[in-house]
Amino acid sequence: MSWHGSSRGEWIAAVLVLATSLTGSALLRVWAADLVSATDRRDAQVERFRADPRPSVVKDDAWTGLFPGHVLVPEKAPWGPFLAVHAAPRRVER
Amino acid sequence: MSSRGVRSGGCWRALVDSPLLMATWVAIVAVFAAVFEVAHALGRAHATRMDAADALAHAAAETALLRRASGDWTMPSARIGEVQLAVGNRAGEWFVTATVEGRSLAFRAADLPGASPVVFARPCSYVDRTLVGSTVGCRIDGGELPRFDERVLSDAERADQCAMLRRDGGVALLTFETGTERDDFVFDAARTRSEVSVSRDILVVPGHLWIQPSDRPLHFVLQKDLVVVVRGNLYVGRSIEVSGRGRLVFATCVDPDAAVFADIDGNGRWSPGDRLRRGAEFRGPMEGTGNVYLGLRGEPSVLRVDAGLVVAGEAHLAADAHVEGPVVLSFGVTEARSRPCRLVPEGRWSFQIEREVVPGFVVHGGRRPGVLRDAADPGSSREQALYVATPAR
Repeated sequence: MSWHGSSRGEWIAAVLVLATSLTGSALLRVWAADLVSATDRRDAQVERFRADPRPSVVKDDAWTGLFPGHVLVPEKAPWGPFLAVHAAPRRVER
Repeated sequence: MSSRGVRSGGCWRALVDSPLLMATWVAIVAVFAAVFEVAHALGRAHATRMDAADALAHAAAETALLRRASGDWTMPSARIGEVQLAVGNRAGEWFVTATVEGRSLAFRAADLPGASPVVFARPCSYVDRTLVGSTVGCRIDGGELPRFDERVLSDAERADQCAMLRRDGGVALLTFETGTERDDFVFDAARTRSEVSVSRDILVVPGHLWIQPSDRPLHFVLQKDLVVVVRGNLYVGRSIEVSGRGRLVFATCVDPDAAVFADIDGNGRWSPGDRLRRGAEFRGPMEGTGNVYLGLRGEPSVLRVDAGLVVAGEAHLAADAHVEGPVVLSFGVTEARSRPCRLVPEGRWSFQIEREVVPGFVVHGGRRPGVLRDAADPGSSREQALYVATPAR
């Protein structure tokens, strides 16, 4: 078997393999890039939260989606304003 | 070409000898590259999810501590969303364990008797009305000045029992002609390269404390906050650096029956021309008590003090003083006649007064948990090594 002696079917198969693999890998790489981008945003959000978890910041919706299944609520503690975490209420199906 | 070379070339040629084989190799490389990128992205996402879980665990632990300390929760364990929590109080400390994402994180917080004075949350606080406009800070009423907890101070480590400090009968004469009436203490140069244990967080100096002039900063290594209470004057002749987790505060005391004066002529003692700040006539040691001198003998011209300063008497400047911690001025600021000097409260750090106690000062409000810290935090020991990393003199 050689390049000159390859049949048409073999060429078509080669093109199909190339196209499939390159498309698949491109899609995977796009997905990975999206994931990295989303991770970067979440990482920055966590860093900001750690640096300044003040109750007033919650009003900016800065932490929406930071902790899925949980909500952050400003509360009053005996020692001053406080940021409490609660379980998010489950959605009721009607 | 040798037969070996032909065989080797033939072997390689066989791997790419058809379009299908070539396409397969290209596909393998492309897929491997994509899989590598996906694995990297998934790894980062997992690390961030763990980081977020830690932050959630910390927030949930704070919430559990609040509920338990305020009496809302009586059970030792509870659940907030995906976080399983256990809270306990043992030997004056709160312990919280948060389990999330299959990992257990342990936290602890001191059980505090109350909140610290508000002045420790600000870069600068002063009582003297004449400082308005000239000094950056907040004017306070005299009643807001921090007060020492004498019961705590009486149990504190004293400088005359601390190996790192020693009496020095001649140190004052190096700066002022007449010296001082009270005992003078200096950091012991012979011991500055060894660690000295200081029990609790307070060191009481029963006299004046001198930090001798030098071009090199005096470097402290502190793992916990330390308040040095000076029952006399504080003389600072060199910059002060602190490394480690602890913060350093110098606080001076004025004798109850002694006068407070501004040393206008800078001779280090009460003399005609000086201004009385408290009392109708001068009483007490001739050098006064509670005063702070920043800059001695004109060297260096700029001081950087990585400490807080609570000045019970008058602050005297013979150098530009950049103070990084909270500054509290009970009276005024007197500049040296020879050159204009500035007191610059940098406000680089302060105390979380609602959740931290500044050792040695009276607290207010009810009991409360302190700042929640990682249980593995090394700064939790009740004793610390006080280590001056550079020669004191």
